[in-house]
Amino acid sequence: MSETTTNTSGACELVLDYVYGELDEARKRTFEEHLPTCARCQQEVASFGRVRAAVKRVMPAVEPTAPLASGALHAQLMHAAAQRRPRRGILLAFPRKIVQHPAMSAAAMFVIVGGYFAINWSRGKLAMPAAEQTTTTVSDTKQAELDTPKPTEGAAAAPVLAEPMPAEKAKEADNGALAKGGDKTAAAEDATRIALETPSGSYTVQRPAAHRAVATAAPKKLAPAHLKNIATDGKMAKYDNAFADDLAKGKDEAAGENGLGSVGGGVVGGTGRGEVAQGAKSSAPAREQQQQQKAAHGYAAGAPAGMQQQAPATMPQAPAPPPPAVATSSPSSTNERDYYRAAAQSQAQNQAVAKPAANARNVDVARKQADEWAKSGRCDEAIKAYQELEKASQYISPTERVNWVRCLTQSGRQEEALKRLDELKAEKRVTNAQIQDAEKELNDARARRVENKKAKKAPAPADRAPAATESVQQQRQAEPAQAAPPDSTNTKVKAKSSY
Amino acid sequence: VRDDSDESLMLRYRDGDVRAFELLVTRHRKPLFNFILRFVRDTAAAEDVTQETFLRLVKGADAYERQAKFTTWLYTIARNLCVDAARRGKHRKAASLDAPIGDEEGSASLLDLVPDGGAAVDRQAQSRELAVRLQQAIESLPDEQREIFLLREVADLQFNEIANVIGCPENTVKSRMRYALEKLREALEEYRDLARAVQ
Repeated sequence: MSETTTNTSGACELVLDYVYGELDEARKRTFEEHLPTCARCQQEVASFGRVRAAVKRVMPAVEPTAPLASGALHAQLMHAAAQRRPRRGILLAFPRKIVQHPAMSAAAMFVIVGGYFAINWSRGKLAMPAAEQTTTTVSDTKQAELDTPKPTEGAAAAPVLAEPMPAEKAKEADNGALAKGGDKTAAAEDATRIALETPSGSYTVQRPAAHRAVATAAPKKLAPAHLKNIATDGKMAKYDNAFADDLAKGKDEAAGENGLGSVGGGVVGGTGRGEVAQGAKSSAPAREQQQQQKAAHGYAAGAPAGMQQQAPATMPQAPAPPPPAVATSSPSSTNERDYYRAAAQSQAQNQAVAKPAANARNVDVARKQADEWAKSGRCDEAIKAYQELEKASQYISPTERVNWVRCLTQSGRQEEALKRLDELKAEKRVTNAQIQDAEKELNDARARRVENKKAKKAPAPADRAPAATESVQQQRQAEPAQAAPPDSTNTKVKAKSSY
Repeated sequence: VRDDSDESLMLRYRDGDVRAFELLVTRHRKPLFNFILRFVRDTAAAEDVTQETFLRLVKGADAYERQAKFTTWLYTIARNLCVDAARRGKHRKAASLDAPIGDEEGSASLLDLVPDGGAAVDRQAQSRELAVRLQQAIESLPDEQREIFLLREVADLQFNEIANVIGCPENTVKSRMRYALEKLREALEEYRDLARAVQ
């Protein structure tokens, strides 16, 4: 059928467009020139024209119904059109397109979820499985050298660094070290715990998740060879045995000034990185300044060569020169001790600034320690601790002041005890019972001293004199441990009269 | 405002001018309703589809951009809705133009409702016969040809616009249109004399 109406002339294909008037002027002219010469086109134009005319007759345009034209449907449509709020603002166009497009929504979700994991990864919040390859240790022979801290020898010796070892070798080394009774710190029990053996005791520290995550990327820290290795897993944390002893015994003044808990906060209970490892963050100018300070105090020349050359790589900046009294001890160990004491001071100060909570814990520990010393009769240490608390502008409770006065009294420092007693009376929170106890104890001590003096002055038999002296000494020694004697009316009256 | 193009009116309505939309509705209501009525063959359904078509315009006004003719967009929506309505109404049989309205014998038929041009009585009879034959021929067209025929004859869209509405090449549209016209011409050949008389 259609084959009869189509031809290859080209112009015949324009019949339909010509009938419906869709030809432009040029093509229309071309077709009209072609039409008289083509009978088929003439026939099609005529037939299509008749069909169109007939269609128009039998399919006239119908008016829309009343509801659609002006009734309920029209009103409903206009109401819906009026209810629509036009969108304003260009800024929301792009997010709107993103939300509407599924691919863009998926990409946005991927970015959000990926960003969440990336941020947590960078912050170390994502716990990663411990890699055995990252566990580092030292060999048996070198471990034996490390077990015995020899500052003078270690100064000349090359520093022993914990190199990353394959897992099998590391395991063998760990087994060997344990079998030979070597340092347990070199052989980690597992990947999540660290066994520390310090002079003050053995500790098992839970390795933080962040350390496990960044263990492989830990840079190598240069430290003196004689220092003891207390951590594994690629992080060499060193500490000085002598200094740790001082800290543990509470005899070190520097540690006491900054809160006696520096051992617990820095080495054992802290991050596990050790004091020096944290101090290694100091910059090069700070190291130079510290070396200059050492030279100015005249003990840098006596420092071991290893300390002078390699220790600065891990030296924190010392805030103040060490006390000269310490320099009277052996040169090398004293210098190291001073150095690490300064490091401890710096770290303690940094911790006090950066971690007020940790500083408060250290103060609490110091308070408890001082109270224990006061109760156990270690008056000198308790007095020092109270003095340090006072220097640190820490509040001293009436009970602590009473203990302080008691310690001063027992150690024979009566004038200072009276002074502290006056301070105790000025304390608002102090109770009368506490004042009376302190006064009574002070008076008792005075009474005993007077009696002792009288006993010394009084002529005694030759055979009893040594015994009396011994009894007095025993009494003095037993005084701190004993509680206050029962009330003695005479001594109380004397004490009151003395005031 | 009344002389503005459809596209300008639609853009104005997109920006919040409800009056422009009312003008659009007034301008296109009649041809749209006729196209839908010829497509779905039911007045009530034609009303619903027409209303739904304009509501779709309201909902899609925010996304409208001046890339194509407004009528192309309008009849694309209408054609899709008509296809859906035709699918839903497949079970319904087309009402015969000769069948009486209602159950009573001798009542008026649908053909009686077709307006005439005021011809003479004999001509009216011939015209009715022609209209019946032509309506039957149009109803018998395949859907793909019928929708193109309606879009061209009733909605008065050009072939390129129909191609955009249908989503097929323009030559395909012309080919289908040619087939439709050929079938209608064959239906009219039997009544050639009658058609000549009508003309």
